[in-house]
This record gives sequence, C-alpha cells and structure tokens, in this order.
Amino acid sequence: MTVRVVLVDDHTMFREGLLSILSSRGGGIEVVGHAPSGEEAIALLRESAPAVVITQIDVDLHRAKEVISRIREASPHSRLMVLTIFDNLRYVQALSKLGIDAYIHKTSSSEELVAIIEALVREPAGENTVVSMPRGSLERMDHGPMGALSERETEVLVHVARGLSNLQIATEMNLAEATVKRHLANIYQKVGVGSRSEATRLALQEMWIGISEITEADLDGSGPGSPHDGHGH
Amino acid sequence: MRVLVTLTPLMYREAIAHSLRQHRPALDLRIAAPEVAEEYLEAFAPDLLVHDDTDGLERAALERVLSWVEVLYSDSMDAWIYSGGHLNKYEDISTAILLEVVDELAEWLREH
Repeated sequence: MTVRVVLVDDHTMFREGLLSILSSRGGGIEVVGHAPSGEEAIALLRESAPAVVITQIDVDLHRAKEVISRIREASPHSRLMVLTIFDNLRYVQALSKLGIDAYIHKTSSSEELVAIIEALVREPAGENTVVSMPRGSLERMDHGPMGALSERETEVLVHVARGLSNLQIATEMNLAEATVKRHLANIYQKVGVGSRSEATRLALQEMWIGISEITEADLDGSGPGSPHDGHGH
Repeated sequence: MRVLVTLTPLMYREAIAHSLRQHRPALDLRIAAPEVAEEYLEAFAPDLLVHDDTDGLERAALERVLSWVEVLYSDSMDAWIYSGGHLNKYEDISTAILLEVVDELAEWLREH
C-alpha cells in the first residue's frame, strides 16, 4: 500500500531535501504535494486529502495551535506529524493535546522520520502520540513546580519573560490588569519565587518556555515596544 | 568534487545531503556534525561547504574552501553564498540555487 504524504515546510531547500528522501523510498511513500505553510498548504491539503501530513512548526504555541487547527480543518482524516526544533515539555504536551500523531524533533534522523510514517500508517486508528526527542532533553524534562501552572498562567509567564509590563500583558491577553496581577501572584506561589525575573529564570531553566518562544514575538514585530503593542516605551 | 554538509539539525543535514546525492551522484559528499566540522575541513578538504551560522566556524576556516553556503538560522533562514569570488545573500534558498553553486564550482575545477 502506498502512503500518500503532503510536506509543509517554509524553507524551500529543506522541504525539497525531505521530498528527495521520501520520494526515494520506492513504492511505499508517495509525496503528493509540498508547499510552504499558509494558504498554499491549506489548498493542497483540501485538494489531496493525504494519509499523512508532515508539517514543520517552529513558531510560538499560540501560532502553532492556529496552524494545527487549520490543517485539521483542511484535512481532518490525515495523520499529523509535526517537525520542530522545540524541545520543551509544555510544547510537547500542548501539541499532543491538539491531537497530533507524532512530535518529531529535528535532531531525529530521516530514517526515524520514515519509520514513524510507516508506524502511523500501520495503525490508522492508533491513539498514541509518537514522540521522537533527543534522549538528553527527555531526561531533563519533568513537571517540577512549573507543572502546576495552568495554561493561562503559563501564557502570562511567557509575556513576563518577553519583558511586558502588567498593563501590556493585560492588553495582549484581553484581561484586566488586576487579573494579570492575580495570575502573577498565583504563579509566584505555585513555583515558589518572589519576582518576575526569578519566575522567568526558573521557567527557562526547566525548559518550560523556550528562548525562541520569547524572541519570536520580537522577530515578528509583536514584542514589547513594537508598533503593534500599543504602548511603546 | 568534494562537498561537506555540516548543517544542523540532523534531519536537515541528511535531507540536503540526500538531495545533492540524488541530483549530482558523482559528488564526493560527506556529512558531519558541526562539532567536528573543523576536523572534517582539515581531513576531507572539501571544495564546497554547506553549513549554518550557528556552528561557530570562524571566517578563517571558511577561507580553506573554494565555495561555501551559509544558512542564516539567526536571520530568517536566508543564506550567504560565496562562489566564484563573489558573496551574495539569498532569501529562502532552494535546491536549484544550491545546484547552481555546485555546477559552477565543478566547471571552475575542470578549467583549473
């Protein structure tokens, strides 16, 4: 049986490289299309309804959720494999909750990628998420005190790590400033710290949030001080 | 013609190497982790290096190769390409561009 695959990756050379690997596997895998993420990919998915979608996701969690939900909507019956550079526990858990079928860190080999495609297809009704991560990252992962944080509190913490003030966080999250303060008080209590910098340091140390997640907003112009944050300095 | 690919992460390193082998099977191509890139530059003496800007290679190391492609992980994955004595920046480099570099260098090697 041939497995019909669609590849979604923003970086042309890498996408073409993965295409080269998957296409060389003989009759087992057929790449029916490939595209950068966005409208082109969504149209391709709607049109081809592949058995497997392999998508690169190296964006913050909020945007990752949007991407996954759009893919799911466009091709609801495809098995969804995410290729990412993120190796923090919160990211793995959040994507797993969104129903992805495989979480593959890009330090995995192409042989592992192929093996996971085959494994997913062998068990089309499988409900487990396959995770391929560097052993070292997995060993460092545990819930620690950060595991007690709710999703909302974690979101506040990411904004804190980005250097946003309470007022800026409130605006960003459509909350009252007092609510942000209450979230912060809960965060301090749950993780046993007394300041924003301690909370940020601990979250980074425990890989609960990643550097890329913090800097991503600055790169896309949505960070503090950007024309979009509505506050300036 | 010798080509060394030291890109990270592994999946991309393998993908680019596979692509090059598929399109230009005559290449003497090796892949290496960035941690051992210096050793490979010394021992394998590649004509072309495909690497990224997070591997810590000094510019002096790049002077040992005739051509190099540097993917800028720190700058939206654009790439610098040094080929034929010229340095150019590319947005979203493709396999076709990489193959152009390979072919130009192969031609130069044939002529010299």
